[in-house]
Amino acid sequence: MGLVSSLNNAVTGLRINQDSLTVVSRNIANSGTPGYHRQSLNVVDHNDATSSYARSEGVQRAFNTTLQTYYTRQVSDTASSSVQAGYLERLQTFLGKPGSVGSLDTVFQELQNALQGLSTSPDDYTVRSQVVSRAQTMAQTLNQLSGDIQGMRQEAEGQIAASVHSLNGMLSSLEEVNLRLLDLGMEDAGRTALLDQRDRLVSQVAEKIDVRADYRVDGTVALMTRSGVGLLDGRASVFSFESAGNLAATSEFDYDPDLTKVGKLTITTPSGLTLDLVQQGVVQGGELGGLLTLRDKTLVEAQAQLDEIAAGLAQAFGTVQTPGTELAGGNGFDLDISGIKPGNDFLINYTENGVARQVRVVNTQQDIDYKDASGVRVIGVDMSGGAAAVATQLEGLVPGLTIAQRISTPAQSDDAKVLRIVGDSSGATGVTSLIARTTSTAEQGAGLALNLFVDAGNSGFTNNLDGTPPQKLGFAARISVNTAIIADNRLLVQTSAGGTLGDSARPDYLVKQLAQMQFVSGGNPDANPARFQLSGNLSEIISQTIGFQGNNIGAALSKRDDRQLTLDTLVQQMDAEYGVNVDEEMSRLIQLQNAYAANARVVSIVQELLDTLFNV
Amino acid sequence: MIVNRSMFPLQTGFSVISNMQSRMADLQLQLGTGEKSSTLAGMGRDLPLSLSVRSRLARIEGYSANIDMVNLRLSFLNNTVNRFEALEAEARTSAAQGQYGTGNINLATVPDLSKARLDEIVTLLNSEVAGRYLFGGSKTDAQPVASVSALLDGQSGRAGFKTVAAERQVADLGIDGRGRLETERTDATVRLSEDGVHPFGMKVSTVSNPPGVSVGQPHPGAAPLGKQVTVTFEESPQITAGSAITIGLVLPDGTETQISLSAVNAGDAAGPDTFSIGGSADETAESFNQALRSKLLEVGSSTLKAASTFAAAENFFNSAGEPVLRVNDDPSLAEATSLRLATPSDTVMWYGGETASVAAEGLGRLEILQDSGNVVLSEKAPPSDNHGFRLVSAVAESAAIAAPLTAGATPLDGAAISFTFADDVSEGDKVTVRVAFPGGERDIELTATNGPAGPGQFQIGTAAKTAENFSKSLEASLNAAAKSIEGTPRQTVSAQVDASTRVNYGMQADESGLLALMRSTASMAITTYPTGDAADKARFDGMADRQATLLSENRNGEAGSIEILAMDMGIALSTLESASTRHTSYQAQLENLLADVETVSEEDVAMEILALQTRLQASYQVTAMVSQLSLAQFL
Repeated sequence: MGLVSSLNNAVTGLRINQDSLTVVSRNIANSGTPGYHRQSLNVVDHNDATSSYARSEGVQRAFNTTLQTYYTRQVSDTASSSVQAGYLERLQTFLGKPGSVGSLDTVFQELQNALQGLSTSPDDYTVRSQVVSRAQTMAQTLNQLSGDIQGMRQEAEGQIAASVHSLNGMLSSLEEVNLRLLDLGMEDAGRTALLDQRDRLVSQVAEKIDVRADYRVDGTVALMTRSGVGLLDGRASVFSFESAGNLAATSEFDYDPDLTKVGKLTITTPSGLTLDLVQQGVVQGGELGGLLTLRDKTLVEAQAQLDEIAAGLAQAFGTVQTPGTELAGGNGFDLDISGIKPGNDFLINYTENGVARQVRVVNTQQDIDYKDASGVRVIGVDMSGGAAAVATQLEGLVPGLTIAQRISTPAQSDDAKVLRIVGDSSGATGVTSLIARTTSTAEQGAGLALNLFVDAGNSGFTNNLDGTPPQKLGFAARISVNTAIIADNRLLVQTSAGGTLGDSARPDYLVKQLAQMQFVSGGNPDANPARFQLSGNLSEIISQTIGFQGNNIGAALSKRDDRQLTLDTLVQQMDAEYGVNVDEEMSRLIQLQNAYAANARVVSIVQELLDTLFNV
Repeated sequence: MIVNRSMFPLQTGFSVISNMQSRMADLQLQLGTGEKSSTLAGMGRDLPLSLSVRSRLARIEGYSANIDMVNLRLSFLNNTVNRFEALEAEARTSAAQGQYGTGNINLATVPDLSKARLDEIVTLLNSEVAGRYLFGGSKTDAQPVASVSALLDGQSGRAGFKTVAAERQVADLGIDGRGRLETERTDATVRLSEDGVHPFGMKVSTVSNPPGVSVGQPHPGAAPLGKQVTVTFEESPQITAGSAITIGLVLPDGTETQISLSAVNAGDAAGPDTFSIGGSADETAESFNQALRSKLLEVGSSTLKAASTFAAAENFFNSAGEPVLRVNDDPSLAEATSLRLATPSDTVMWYGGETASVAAEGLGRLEILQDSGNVVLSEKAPPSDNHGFRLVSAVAESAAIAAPLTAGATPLDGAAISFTFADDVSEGDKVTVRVAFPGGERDIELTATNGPAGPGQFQIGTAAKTAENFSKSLEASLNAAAKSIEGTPRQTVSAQVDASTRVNYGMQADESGLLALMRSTASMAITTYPTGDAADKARFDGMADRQATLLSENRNGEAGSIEILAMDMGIALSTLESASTRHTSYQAQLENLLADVETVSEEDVAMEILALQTRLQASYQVTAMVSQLSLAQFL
């Protein structure tokens, strides 16, 4: 009690005001700084026997763990959809709007119309050369699109490398920040600045990869991915990316590290454990997540759809359909399978109790037996061993049909190559037709089909499933027009050397094939449930591809916009919680000003009183 | 950048304004381009509709291009066929029997006029549209008909029509000019016989039987002679004056003529076509013989020559399914006994376009002859591997039917199958004949049945009846097989003008109407009448008559006649027109639909711009006001 305690109180008041002013001034100065959390002074009053005064307990920093966690998660998701939307926006400019010059559907329709014109005027040189040039345009469009897609994949890899680099930098900075935060003796101003830096770094890391932040009581933060791999806990893990060089359509990701042909993204934890992030499926969001999805799923699927279109083109022109010969009794068919190369197939059309069914038997070493997207059963059989081996492999697979090698009396030389398929005698299961579908082997003298579109090196396209990689993968980048036809466009019409040029049999056949031949994309739908299955004739497949990509891209763009909107609302909320309201600070400033003046006044009054006392 | 690292990051309020600004820019773009969206993804739900409408529009465009091209060709064809109709009418009336003109002017001008007409016909047949020949079926890249000079005069050692006709004339007239007929008088019998079994010269067909004469109707004579007729004059009473003996003769081109010789009393003036009644039957026979011989010479130098030229025209200008034939000059032309196939190396082939290899009209170059219980199916001589059917084998699964196949004696004779029927043919007995044609083989199966016969069956009766039914059924089956292989010339060229509509407009120069025109005009062009005497006039009559018959209006109903061609063109044109109209209206509908889906309504866009403008102005105003309100301003 007494003057001295009043003096003490006033002095503590002054000191508190000074500290408050410091905090207010710091707030105002940093009102525009991104990532700055509003600070306020903790003031408590202290009572003891003799006096009660104000004391500051330290600077309080505005921080809401739930909000921050939510923000971190949203940043990762927004970054992921944003980077995907950016790439897909470019993809849509490559594809073009339907009906625009250079878009796939326009180019294909022009090719179809040119073929129609060819069947009306096969003898006209101009018409034939137009068919060839439109076919070349089609092939070039497919090549171009493939190149663009692979280029984007390559770019994605480049961006992954850059992100990894900056990510490592940020993690090591965060590690340092953590270390400094452990020093509890730091004064408050420095501490809060470090905490702001910590939060900034965490959200920057969240932008790159999805993280879960664990804010410790001492202010340090531990980071791990949403899937549980630790990124930072005291010491930072190191990301590394091993580029695969040039990415082609055939460079795909494989779970077997020896077979994978794309770049490898790994993380090495401080304890020395190295994980392959893609193989373990660790990355679920953030820019890295978006780029990996692009590189391994979205763009690969787009390439696969282009490959389907290219394969359909080549097969529609080059497939020779040879029907089997009907048996004398009318209950079955004979089929010569010697011409069926790996990848070619034959169709069995049969009726089972009145219901028409179809089985497609493909020449391949793989063991496949599934129902494709259009309901046709696909069975893989190795036909290199002749008809007898085929019959053994097909034994019992189609109930009601008897499949065997033809045995004729007397034995004929080509019996080993002929397959005989007979329905059952009761009539419940009957074979309607057998059709072998082989690839044309020569431009003239081998029937009406024509290898207009060929693979690299002018070789025919047989859709060989057995190669590594299978022939269809990346075919859109390799498809080109047969050089023999470019050199002599009469091959479009003449089925035999020296035939008349007015004969429209071959163009009519090609037009019919193009309109009628049905294709189904992808392999087993059960094995790839997420894949979009294409089915129909070539024109429908192209429409489905463009429609699918258009929808996909539209969905990606709107997802980005949605997430951005959510992020904006979050940021607004954070502004309200952490942000500096200049008006509030200014009013506080006025109050402090008054309080400071009042305290000073108290001091001077006490001083006067003491003087009065001492002057007595 | 998601996480903003720059000072004074944009507040949400401001970002809304910038969104409004970008929307304003989008609306301006829409107004400028007229399109709802400038990117693929922006089309959203309209994408599938746009894709399918565009693909349909492109298909229609393709069909329309086809229609335009075919329209051009059809209009050419229409004009050409109309011109052919006019030419046919001209030719029909260009020469008439008995019309020789003053001073026989017609005799001199008809060959030249016919040649000029032939020039025009060949030019029209070789007409082309943009390098595409129209009268060769689907062989549109080469001229279908040879040039007129090559046709008539030959080319580089290969015979033309003139040579072929001249050869035929020698073969038809024979050594003595009597049309390969011999007469011989033995006592009171005069025998008129063909000098061999061959297609040349005149054939005897009938002989009349006036009182005083006994005749033997045409019957096969002693080998190697052909058929013969005999006229035996009776001793008493002798034939009376005024009675006529008429002998009917068949000419090489299938027409008929007759020789009528009337008896006159001795001492009366001997007019043309008469023979005098002598004292005895022998004398009368002799006088008849002489009259006959001179009459034959007369007919030979007039009517026979005309018929021979037209027969040569049939050989040289072959129709579909028949080969080009020439006289086989072994041992010599005048004694020729068969026709042979002409090869491209020794004869000019008049037509090089597409043609059917088997013709239903000639039963695929097969002949069926039935005689009581025997049916003979034979190939026409000379057989050709590239035309018509060739007999391969015959199998009769029956004890009562025999069907041996005998090959031809020489390469110029055709093979033959001789079916012999017994009385006990049973139900279900089957006869299978295999014929080969260029392009494959076919089996013709005929089954015996007790009831009424359907297609591919023949009814059992007595041996002769069975044979008759069998031959009718065989003819019908062969006809059907030939028709199915022949097709029609129209189908050789077709164009797709709609999803399921094809227009067939192929034409071949060897269709029957055009062929008749070619044959008659060429025959008239190479025949000249140098002397203008009675024989020439008679020849002129024969030629004019034959031309008129070949080109007569009665034949307008035959398949391939020029009138039918014109009608087919008309049908094709109308199909084209209806397809074109369909496409136009459908296209208009689709384009409307596309516009609805893809283009913006300018009024809507303008309204939205106006509303947006108001909002933007208000936002700017408020932002400006709010920015002024800060405590710092008032301290």
